[in-house]
Amino acid sequence: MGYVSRLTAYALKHRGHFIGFLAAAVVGTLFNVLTPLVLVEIIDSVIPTAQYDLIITYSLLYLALITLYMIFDMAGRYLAALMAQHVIFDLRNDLYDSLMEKDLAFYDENETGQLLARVTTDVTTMREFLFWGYRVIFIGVATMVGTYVIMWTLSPVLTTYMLILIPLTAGFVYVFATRIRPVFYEARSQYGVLSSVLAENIVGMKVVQSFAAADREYDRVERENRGFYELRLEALRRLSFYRPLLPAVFGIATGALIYIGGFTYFLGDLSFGVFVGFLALVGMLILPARFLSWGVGMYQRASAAGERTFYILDHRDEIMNPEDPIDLADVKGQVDFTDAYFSYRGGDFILRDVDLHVKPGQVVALLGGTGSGKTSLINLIPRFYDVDDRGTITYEGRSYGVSKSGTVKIGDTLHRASDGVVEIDGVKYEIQKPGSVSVDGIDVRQYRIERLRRSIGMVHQDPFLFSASVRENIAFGRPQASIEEVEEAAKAALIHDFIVSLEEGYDSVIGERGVKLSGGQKQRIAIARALVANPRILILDDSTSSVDAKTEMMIQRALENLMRNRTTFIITHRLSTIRNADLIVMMERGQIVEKGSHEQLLESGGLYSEIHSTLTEMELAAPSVEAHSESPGGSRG
Amino acid sequence: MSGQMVADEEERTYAYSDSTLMKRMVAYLLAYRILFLAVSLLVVVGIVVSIWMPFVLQHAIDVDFPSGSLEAVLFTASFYVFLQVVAWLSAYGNEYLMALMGQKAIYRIRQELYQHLQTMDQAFYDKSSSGRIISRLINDVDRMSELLSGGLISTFAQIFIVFGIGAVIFTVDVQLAFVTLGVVPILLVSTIYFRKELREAYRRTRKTISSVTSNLAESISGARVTKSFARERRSIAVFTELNRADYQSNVDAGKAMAAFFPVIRFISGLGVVLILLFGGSRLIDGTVTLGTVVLFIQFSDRFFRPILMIANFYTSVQGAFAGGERVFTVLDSRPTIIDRPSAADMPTLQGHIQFKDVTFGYLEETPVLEKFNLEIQPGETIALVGDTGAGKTTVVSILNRFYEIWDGAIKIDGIDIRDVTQESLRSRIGLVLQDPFLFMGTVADNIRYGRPDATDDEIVQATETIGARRLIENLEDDFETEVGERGSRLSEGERQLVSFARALLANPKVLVLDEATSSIDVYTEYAIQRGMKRLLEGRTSIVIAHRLSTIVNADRIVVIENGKIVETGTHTELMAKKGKYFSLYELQLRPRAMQPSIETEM
Repeated sequence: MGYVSRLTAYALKHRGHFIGFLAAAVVGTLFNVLTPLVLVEIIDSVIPTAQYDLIITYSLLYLALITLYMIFDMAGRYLAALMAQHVIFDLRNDLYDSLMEKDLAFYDENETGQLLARVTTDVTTMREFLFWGYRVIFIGVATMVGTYVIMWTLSPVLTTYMLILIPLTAGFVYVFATRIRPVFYEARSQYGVLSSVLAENIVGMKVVQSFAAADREYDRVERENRGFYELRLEALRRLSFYRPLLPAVFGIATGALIYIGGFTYFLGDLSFGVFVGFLALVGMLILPARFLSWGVGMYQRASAAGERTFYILDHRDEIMNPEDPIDLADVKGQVDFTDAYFSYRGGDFILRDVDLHVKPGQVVALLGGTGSGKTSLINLIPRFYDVDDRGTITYEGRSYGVSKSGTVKIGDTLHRASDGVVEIDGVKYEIQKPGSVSVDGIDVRQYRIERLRRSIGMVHQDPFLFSASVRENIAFGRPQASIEEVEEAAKAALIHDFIVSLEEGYDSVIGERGVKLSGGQKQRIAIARALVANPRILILDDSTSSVDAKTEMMIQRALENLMRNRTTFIITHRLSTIRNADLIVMMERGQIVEKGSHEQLLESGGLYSEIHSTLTEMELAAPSVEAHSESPGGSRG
Repeated sequence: MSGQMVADEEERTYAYSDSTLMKRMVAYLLAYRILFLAVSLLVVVGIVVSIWMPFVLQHAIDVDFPSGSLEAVLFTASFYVFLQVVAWLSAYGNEYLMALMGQKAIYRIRQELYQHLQTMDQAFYDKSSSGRIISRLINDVDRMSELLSGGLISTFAQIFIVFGIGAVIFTVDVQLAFVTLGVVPILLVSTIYFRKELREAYRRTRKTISSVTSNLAESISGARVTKSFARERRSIAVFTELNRADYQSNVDAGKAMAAFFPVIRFISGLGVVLILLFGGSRLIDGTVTLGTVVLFIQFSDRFFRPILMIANFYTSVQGAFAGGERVFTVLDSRPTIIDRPSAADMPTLQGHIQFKDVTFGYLEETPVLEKFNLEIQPGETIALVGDTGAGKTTVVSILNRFYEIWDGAIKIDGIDIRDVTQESLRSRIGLVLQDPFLFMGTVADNIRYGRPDATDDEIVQATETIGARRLIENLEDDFETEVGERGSRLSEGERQLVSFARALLANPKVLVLDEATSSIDVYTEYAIQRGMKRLLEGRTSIVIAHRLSTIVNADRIVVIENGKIVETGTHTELMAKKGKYFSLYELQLRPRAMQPSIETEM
């Protein structure tokens, strides 16, 4: 109910169209249900009195009625289309605005494909409802009321008998909604299962073949295919049963009409004209039944689609500008994490007690396995996420958040906090104040978000580029940048030579319909993009790479150019980069386990030195590789 | 989702004529001859009944009512009800049987297509993107569904109804028949006209909606970048423009769509006006009965739906043809690699491999390998080294017989690989791909993939040997962790380790490993290095190597350039030679650090 009424609220913003199309639908219907009366008049008044010219008059009257019906129906449809399009336009814009405002956690929680479907397919489903839904229900009800009223004026007795069609129609609409749709939904979801099994097998065909698993996979496909066949067939069987049932019910009513009509005719209470008129009117009653069962289905679909779509609008954006934002200017690049905790929406802590202080211009290398929290850590700086603002206590080596209402949940038991302590089993645990992340000594949450983010550059190993020209991509962060600035950045990123080798140089469009770029080329364009934006703080996610050695060498050079004079956080696998960092931070399970310079960490003999020596050993299996002079390189593209 | 994909779905290549396509689709239905007969019979019953009904009404008005006999009226009324029930049951019967036939056919087509795809060789998969092939199996097959499970036969039934009514009404009254049929041509012409208009309008809306969709897709995928450069306002402005264009094209299309149905129905109503005009005067003259006029009014209403259906048929048939054409194209393509009739199963291997004068290329007249010779002893580890495109991957692909060589022979333990079945050959050779593919299911399911009967202990054992036990323990549900679609819930390094365990458990004598170029975080990297070493132990292994440590640890390094072996030997030997390997090493492999030696990357 809720979602469709919200959709209606949108529709009511275009009140004129909304009322217009409903009025047109009702008026049109009125003209339509009047047509049988012309038949009645011709048969009962014109023919017995043999007035030839009245035949023409009544035929023209009939023509007038169907013409008016056509005109109003057309107007109603057009206005409904206008209204539906208006609503869809508004809704899509709202959705887009809302998507742009979401924090990154939202994008982590929702897959791209699903979000896209919510904004496209689901919106289309709602458009169908906007266009048809209200109209079919209005027309259905108007036709039913109108038809019975006219019947009543012709013959109250026959009308009374024909009232039986109302419960039958209601029953049909109900059965249709409950017996048929669910099976279609089931078949639909089985279709999804079948599709994903097929897709998986095609993409993994090499593996299937190399493990000689073809027979097994064939059976699996057959099982899902058969399941789909059975469900779809059952859905179609029910449809085949119920769909022709509706005209049959009305046909049977017509049969009854013949009998009752004949009976009444013999009593002299019925004329031929009224009888023929009734035949036509009963035929008209089939329309509401059809429309209403259709409308119910559309309502169900629109409601489900609405739920998915409004989810985006309802999802509260957690990261907002403070009330009096500070405009960050002349950033120096000092970054401090002070006892920072982080969790997704108050769940388990992903980062715990992170304390890290970085001076302007320092390079910090972050190390750690998947899920160690290094990515979460760097995302706190540009406020893609915010630090946990709850206080925490540490109990038996684990950290727990203290909720706003002052309770801590440990296992299944709830403990209350008072005066900054939580007492558990007689022992008092002090509540640690929530931590913070600050840039140049000021909490990032006090800055204007746009300014903060503009002073931070990010380069990912697999960067996202837009389907636009190379120049637009490089100047993405500063669209007003001159072509000279763009070229200079491209040169420093060692991608200039490649760009000028393209047919249209800097105007070449990249992406699906344009120039396809290799991973290494993309990365260097992203480096150029960051250079143009000229941020004081850099975040480099260079954790994976699938490029050949030459490219890698170029990327490394480009990165070195980029990192110069900037505070840099880098996630990397390159031991050379790690060794040269001012600070190496080893992370495990959301905590910093070791930090220091390369030499310090080697000396302390912890995890870093263990990994370092294992990898070194493996490389040293290569006999006597002596230091050669400067490594060869170049900017071939 | 892009505009291209939308266009692609509509395109026809006309590799098959319409009649060929129709014949082939119908052939699938005709496989169920008895069902087909039953459907035809029921369709005839349905047509007869539906033409009969108005005559019953005519009889009631013209004969029973004037007769004054309540019995006669009761009989006619009961007969009418009887006809309605027959109509319902025959409709139920024939619609269900058509669905049965059609769904059986769809099931079979999909199954045949999948089976066929399993036999296709790698060259086929190289040519067409997997996305397209998947679309054949899923969307294109489904496009035929509607036509096969009802659309085709009921459209023919509608044509028969139009002709049937057309013929029958002439026997009743010639003048009124002409009058009634008079609107049919107008109905047809305007339906066709509107269809064309609508298609045009629809095409325009598809263009604008695909711009909206691709902009959305890009905005969602690129949200992180947009945010990090704080460019939201501009993106919103761009989107609003595209959205407005879509609004406009839909509103334009709305005009044609609003007119279509009401106009068609109006024309159908014109028929009634004409019947009233002519029939009315003749009623006064007494040259026609009231029942007959009612009969004609009833019939004139029955042309309307069939003609709409026939008009719609064109659209649905176009969709089915487009889908059918692509499905049949795949079904008709022959695999180039077929087991010989005499092919036996590959026996258990010792692991001796010989490439003898092998020539092969992907494109005609452009050999990638020429007179390629290489002999590998059982248990030996070979590192293939060379530039991208030198032919390393080709060597291992033809060993698996993913492609057929042009000339020469490849022998394993002295048996030509073309003399054994492909399935047995591949099951004896372990293959570890650079970007490991995992199947939906648990970690354990995936490790077990090559040996479904392996026990849990064996799985644990394999994982321990590979050195991935700790990594898997750290996963959410240990071995029962769901890996997600294509293993997406695991990290790249975790996928690699799982694929090592999978290969180890299958325990092949010959192992082909395409070493991943990407290196993960230092943690996983080190687990992978160790795992690989264990995996290669005691097997004949060919490794397409990217890491120095792998190359150095190999028994023999084979340097390939332009499809030829230019050097072989150990690291030390080759370095001393100062040939191709030496320069490769200088340029690519040598650790490029400020300090000597250590570098994880090549």
